[in-house]
Amino acid sequence: MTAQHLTTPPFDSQVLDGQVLDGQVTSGEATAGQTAGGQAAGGQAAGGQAAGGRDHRARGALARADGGPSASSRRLSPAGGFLLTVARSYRSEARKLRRRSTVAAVGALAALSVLSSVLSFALADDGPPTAPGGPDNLLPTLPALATPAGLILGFRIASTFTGLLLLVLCAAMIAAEYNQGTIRMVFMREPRRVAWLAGRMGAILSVLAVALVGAFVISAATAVLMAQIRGVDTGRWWTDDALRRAGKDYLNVLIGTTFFAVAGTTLGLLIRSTTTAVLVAFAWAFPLEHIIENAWPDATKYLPGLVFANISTGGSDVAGYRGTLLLGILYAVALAVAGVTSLARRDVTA
Amino acid sequence: MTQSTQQRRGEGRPASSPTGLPATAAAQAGTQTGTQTGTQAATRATARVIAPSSGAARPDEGAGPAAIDVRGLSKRYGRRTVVHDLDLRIPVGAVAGFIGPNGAGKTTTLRMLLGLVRPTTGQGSVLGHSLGEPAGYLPRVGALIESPALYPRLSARRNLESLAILAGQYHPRLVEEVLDEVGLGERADDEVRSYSLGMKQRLAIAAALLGDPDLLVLDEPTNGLDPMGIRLMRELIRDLSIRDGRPRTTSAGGSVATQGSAMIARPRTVVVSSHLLAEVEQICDWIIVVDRGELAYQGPPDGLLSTGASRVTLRPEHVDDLGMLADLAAGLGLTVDRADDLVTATLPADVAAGLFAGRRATGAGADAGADVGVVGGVVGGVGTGAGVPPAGTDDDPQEAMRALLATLNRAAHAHGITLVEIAPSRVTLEERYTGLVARGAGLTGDAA
Repeated sequence: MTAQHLTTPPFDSQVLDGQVLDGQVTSGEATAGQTAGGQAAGGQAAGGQAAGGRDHRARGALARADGGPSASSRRLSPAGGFLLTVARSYRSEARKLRRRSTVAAVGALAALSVLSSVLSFALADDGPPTAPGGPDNLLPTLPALATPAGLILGFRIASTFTGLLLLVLCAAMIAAEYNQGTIRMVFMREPRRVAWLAGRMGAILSVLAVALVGAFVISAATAVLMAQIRGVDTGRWWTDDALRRAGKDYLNVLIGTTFFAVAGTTLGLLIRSTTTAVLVAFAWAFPLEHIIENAWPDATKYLPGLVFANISTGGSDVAGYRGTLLLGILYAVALAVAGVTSLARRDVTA
Repeated sequence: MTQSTQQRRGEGRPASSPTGLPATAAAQAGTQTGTQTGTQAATRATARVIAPSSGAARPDEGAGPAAIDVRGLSKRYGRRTVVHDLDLRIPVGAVAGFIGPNGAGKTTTLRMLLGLVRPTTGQGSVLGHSLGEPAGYLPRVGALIESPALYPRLSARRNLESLAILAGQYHPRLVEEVLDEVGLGERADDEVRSYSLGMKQRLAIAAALLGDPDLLVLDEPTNGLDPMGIRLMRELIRDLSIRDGRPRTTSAGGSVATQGSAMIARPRTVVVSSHLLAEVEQICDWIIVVDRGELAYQGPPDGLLSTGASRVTLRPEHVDDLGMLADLAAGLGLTVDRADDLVTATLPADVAAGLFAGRRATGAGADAGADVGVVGGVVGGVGTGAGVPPAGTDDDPQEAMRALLATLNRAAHAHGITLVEIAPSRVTLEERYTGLVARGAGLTGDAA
């Protein structure tokens, strides 16, 4: 039994640490074997044996005294597979996301939903109950607000802007890692780049999912309040059908914004410059695609930004839903492959 | 280069001799590694100067375990070669200074070692793991590359926590420990953007120290620091080379050769890239010089300094004697430079190498067993063609220099010249480095 077994493990799995411990102890021998005849390597193996003993003497008496991790558990824990790295990256990113700017971004997202709900009700008129989304009916009518979809109509309308916000944010965040040089600190700690990215995206999307739940709830509460002000009948809002639709709408928004996040991250990985990435993301998603759409209405079926937006809003009369979703998945996969390839193969010169 | 490429593709070391050396290297280094034993042999082997253009295989092999052992390392961007066929070997436990002019390829080399940049060619190992698999050794490496790169809107503590979690080395007390170690404990919860450059540098070093690494790579750690900051950084680097409260021996060569002993239970290797040569000279016991992407020298500082010329300043009582004094020194084979009131006599590099060879062989603590006869041989040999004493004799270089001074003094006295000053001076690392870089070539002729 080693000192490690007598101490409390850190957050990482003790089982994994134990495996690593064994692996590490033998790694020196393996090294000697791999470099058979290599005097230096042989020495290294000897050094490795010394390391086995020195772990128990290493600085960190403090940690040992309070039952914290021994030096050995600290030193021998890092290896591991892809999933372990993803988990570490996820936790590391989650720790970084605990900051004011994250709260501000989540707040902005909620505010966007509230604003959308308020405007939907405030500007609604007595037209026929058509769903918004087309070029001629950007805002819902009062009868449309009284349908089962009315509860979270504001949330749905806001989702397009939420997606664009995510696109720009993700492009800026990943490009900033290069601009600030923090990416090299990260990769010097964890060279498994793809696993790191997976964990990082997982953390960001987790925050996004929670933020969207918050926005959803706030948007619904705003809708209830505004319905009373505008005298909209809310009787059909609380049926099973309405709640099912609400859940489906939430998922659509989550999928659409996730695709926007993937697109933004890929842009950042390819461009590696915060300013340029943000400019390209902004230009692509805001004016460029909409100019094309104005000239060619069918563009809404094919251009990636519009496709993602259509997924968020649950499809449109022009594009439908199922085909849009499939195309959106294809776009997202293609973008992810491009981003991952760039991340894995290009040198880090930041 | 071909060999390097083959080694890389072959995923193994090249055909090697029983000592682990490539066959050619073994042949060249065979005498040293085969006939000498113990510290002297090891130290001598590590003290050799590499001639990059000669293609000489690694004369320092067999000197003990290496923290970094790479060969044929190259990096090309298009047609531009940034690093060319670099062979590096840094012994375990060394504090290695990595120096070279701007654009020499230092940072690119370090990036390749750290897995940030993919080498075009080259193979080798870092901490016993293949260079091609940085995940194997990076958990045992801490590094600061160029400017400190930290999340400005996170606190120091949060920065370190996120990195430690990512590396699987997180525990709150360990983060506290490294923060205290670099003196940032009291500002740990402040956002990094409020830090001075020196504090950011220290925080970046704290990040490098996470996990108690066996190899610490610091690229320009004193960049942008004021003199006090530089001094603090120097002390910090010195401290970092000590582990478990056990002092490392700092004499050139000796520490490297003996670091595997019980004196240092857990040697930490430190690689410092810096333009501040005085700093490097003070803290490093291993020097690597690169120029235009090629290796110009690697070995202990003494090996570099001793291969350069040494000087003696002679000042006569009467200025009228300057001419005769200069002639005297020139007659002894010294290169003479005459100033207004003094003569500077420079000992040719090959003679200086012979003079100081004893120091490399015996270490700094060697007995001062002067062998005036040998010194006489040096001086006498300069003019007569007699051989320089072979490297490896037990001469004390200080005694040798004293005897040289005595010879000069006697010669002056014999010619009726009274000297009011006779003083030896050795070239500094800066002078030697400047000469190296200016020539843009190795030290083949100077050293071996």
